[in-house]
Amino acid sequence: MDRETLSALQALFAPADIKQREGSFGKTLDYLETSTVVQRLNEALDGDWSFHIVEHVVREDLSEVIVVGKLVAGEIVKMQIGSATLKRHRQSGELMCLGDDLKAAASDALKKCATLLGVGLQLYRSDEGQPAPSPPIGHPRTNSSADPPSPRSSSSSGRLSPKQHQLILKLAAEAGINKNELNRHCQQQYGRVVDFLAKAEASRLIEGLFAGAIQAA
Amino acid sequence: MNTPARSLQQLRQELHVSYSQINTYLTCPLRYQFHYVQGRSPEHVGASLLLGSAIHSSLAHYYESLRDKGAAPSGDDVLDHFREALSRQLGQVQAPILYKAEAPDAETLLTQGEGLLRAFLVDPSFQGMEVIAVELPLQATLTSADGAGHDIALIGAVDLLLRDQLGRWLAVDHKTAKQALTQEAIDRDLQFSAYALLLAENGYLEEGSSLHCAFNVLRKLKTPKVERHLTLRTQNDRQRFARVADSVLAAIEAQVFVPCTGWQCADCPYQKACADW
Repeated sequence: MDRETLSALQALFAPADIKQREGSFGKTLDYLETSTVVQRLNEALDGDWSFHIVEHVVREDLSEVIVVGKLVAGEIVKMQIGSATLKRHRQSGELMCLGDDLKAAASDALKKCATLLGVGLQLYRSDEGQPAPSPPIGHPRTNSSADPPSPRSSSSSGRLSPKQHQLILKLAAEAGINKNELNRHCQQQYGRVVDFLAKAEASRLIEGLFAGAIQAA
Repeated sequence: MNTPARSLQQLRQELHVSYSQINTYLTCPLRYQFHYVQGRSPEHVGASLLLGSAIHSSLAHYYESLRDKGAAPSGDDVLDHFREALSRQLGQVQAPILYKAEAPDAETLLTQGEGLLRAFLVDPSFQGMEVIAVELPLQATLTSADGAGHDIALIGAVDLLLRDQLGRWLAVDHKTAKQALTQEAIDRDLQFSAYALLLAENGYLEEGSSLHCAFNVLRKLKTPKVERHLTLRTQNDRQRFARVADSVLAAIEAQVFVPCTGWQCADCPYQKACADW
């Protein structure tokens, strides 16, 4: 991917493109709509990209659906996890529409994959101790995220999310890799055990597990 | 109250923090990094740690029998359980075992443990109280100072949960120790605050109520003896523990791992790693 394309992907969004919603604990969260991200990908990549759902997991016990998305742009492949809360009828507790929840999780995964190409990174910078672009006048920014509101993240300095952790353990188990073997692999590759991986390291590990590049001893 | 649906082993499969982790970090952040973050094997294992685990297992066996069968097991049964547990501990350990002068080998360690349990069996105490749970696994959401919930849960297991005739809870923690505990240390101990938070978050305690706690200490003396120390944990103590946990998690996130030199260095299983640091 050339620098021009990367610059186009990473270009700052106009304040009007950045939406806000009320998050948990009274915070205001910034986010991008899926259509805005799709438009950016189309413009920067000239439509030459595709998005695939590699796997999905419905956890009714946790009222959550998790999907693993893969964004392909030329030779570049980015994978990330998206999630959505399962919506239920208030009275019966039955699922309202699993398809809609899966689509929401897929949109989340697409936005996360696009972030790995630099799309919307400006929303994350203030969380990582880097200077964020000035908020629009009259819109004080208290928190920024391209994701739905979530509990206070353990990962403000990059520690893997509980969802990444959950998926890693699931994929490892499916590959016949036990926790000790997984920890040994992480110690060799990253100098720490799986519970303390950084987000980016966890993403690489997930890709490796998917690709079958990490085998049981 | 919620019945625990998952074992401690299952809870450990998720991203979590425990009292033990928090205490390790407060004792020495570098040791925390070696143990939990890097997953280094210890350079040695203290014999007292193995003894403590085997004693814990034996006391759990004692109270489980009391709960399930309504009668205490025989002394021989408890001692047999201890011998098996210690033998298993000694067999599983992969690092060199660090013995101390008071119990310089495995045989003496066994004798010491038997002495401790015999002292316990003479006076098991907590008579008249109902055994509700043994090694009760619990999980709670930690809340930070600004009211936000952490996505890393606090987990822990209460050694013993009893209930008196008035319906009051008593959380018991078993300890083996050579030195006597001071009441000041007991009143400050964070483990009970962690227990109180876990029990409150799981519906055992009402808002604003306090938890009665007791240390069941088996003293490693020439003539072993058992001491019980009572204390109380209030809602303020729970909130303080949550603040401590929140700060420790923030420090871990910021990767603040510095050595803390002091009494704790003598038994530290990472002395060489620390010297090389």
